[in-house]
Amino acid sequence: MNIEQTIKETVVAATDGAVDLEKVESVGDNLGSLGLSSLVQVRLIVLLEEKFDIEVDVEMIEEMQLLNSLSSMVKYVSDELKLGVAD
Amino acid sequence: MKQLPLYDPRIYGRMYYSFPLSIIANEEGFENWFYSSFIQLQSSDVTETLARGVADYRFFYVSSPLCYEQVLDIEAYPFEAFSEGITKFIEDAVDTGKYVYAYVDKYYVSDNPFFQKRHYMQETLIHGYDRESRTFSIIGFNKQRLFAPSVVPYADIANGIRHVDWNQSAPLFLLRAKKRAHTPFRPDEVYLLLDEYLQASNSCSRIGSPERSEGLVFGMDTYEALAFSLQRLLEDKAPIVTNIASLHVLWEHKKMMLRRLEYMCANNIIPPDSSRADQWGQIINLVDLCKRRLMKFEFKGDPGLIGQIVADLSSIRQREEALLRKELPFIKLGGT
Repeated sequence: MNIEQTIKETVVAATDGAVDLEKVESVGDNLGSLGLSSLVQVRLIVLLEEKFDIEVDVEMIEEMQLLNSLSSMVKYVSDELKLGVAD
Repeated sequence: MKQLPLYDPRIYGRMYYSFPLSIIANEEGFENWFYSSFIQLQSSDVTETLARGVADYRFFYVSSPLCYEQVLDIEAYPFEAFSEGITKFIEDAVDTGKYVYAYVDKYYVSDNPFFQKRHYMQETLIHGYDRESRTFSIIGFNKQRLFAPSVVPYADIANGIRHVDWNQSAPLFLLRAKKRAHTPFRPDEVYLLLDEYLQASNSCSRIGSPERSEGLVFGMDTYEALAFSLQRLLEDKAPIVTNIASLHVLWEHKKMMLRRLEYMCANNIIPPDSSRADQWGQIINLVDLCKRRLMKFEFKGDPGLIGQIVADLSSIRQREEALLRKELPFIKLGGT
């Protein structure tokens, strides 16, 4: 599974198509510039949890500025998946 | 085509205050009035909340255009005054610089969550029209649940207005910002309201509010009412979105508290405090976290999230009370 591509597609799904894949790719790493509402951000987290079978504490979103950077999200998901394998 | 300007309302959790604020936020003296307001909170008490299924949680004395007579010129019209020609009535109002604040059945109005799904009477603010495309410019919560402008067909608004039960509804209002409404900032009034907020006192009789006060709690007591409302989500299918909106109001209330204190500091009413922004910022972020947890509950139904929110509300209450009690003596002195 290509984590980065899956995350981009999940961003599109979380916005109900209001933001398309081309737009997501155009902002590069700077997902913060998409201006996702808090509702969309939470929906994105829930979809990522389902896609990757991981848990994301809502508190982490703000602490880690998780949703502002694509690379941060990729790293977070990768780390969580490794932890899951280790368990 | 004609369109009246809209300004950043600063807070927008409920349309009944975001609409008037969108009209007046650019007026001279706005900040004096704004920071003297939006201090007290009210909620339905436990008995009322049980009967309703959800807390009616709001800022005190803001829910009708009539609450803004200090800063708005207000005209009220019964249905008979415009029923024969709804669209012309609205066009004429906009032509004379008046915003149209009307209840509509949102089932008939496109670009909102209830469109063709559920009959729901709710406010809308019309601030422009285009005769060529036969559309009105409105503002409100759109189908993405975002507070934003929309353009909708004349027919949507006309049908939405026609299907309101005008015997039960408030009248249609035409609103315009009062020019040269000199409203000085009043530390004495701010002090009274903050004290009432901390004491959980009923502000209705002192303010002369036309709203009923039975079945209501105020100020600090609203935390308990909100927690009770949230816990109801675990027992039955209580409306989640309404509770999310309540947490949004709580979040705006805390942001207003910090802005008000900063405004008073900038006007030498209270002394500087280097920790103020950080301490209130923590409270504001914690309320925002509660809101996001509830949104997550909407998707996943995890009861642990409700438990976390209720615990956080208790912490927020304690921290807020401590910070306000520290500031109150200075506000009482009023910069003297």
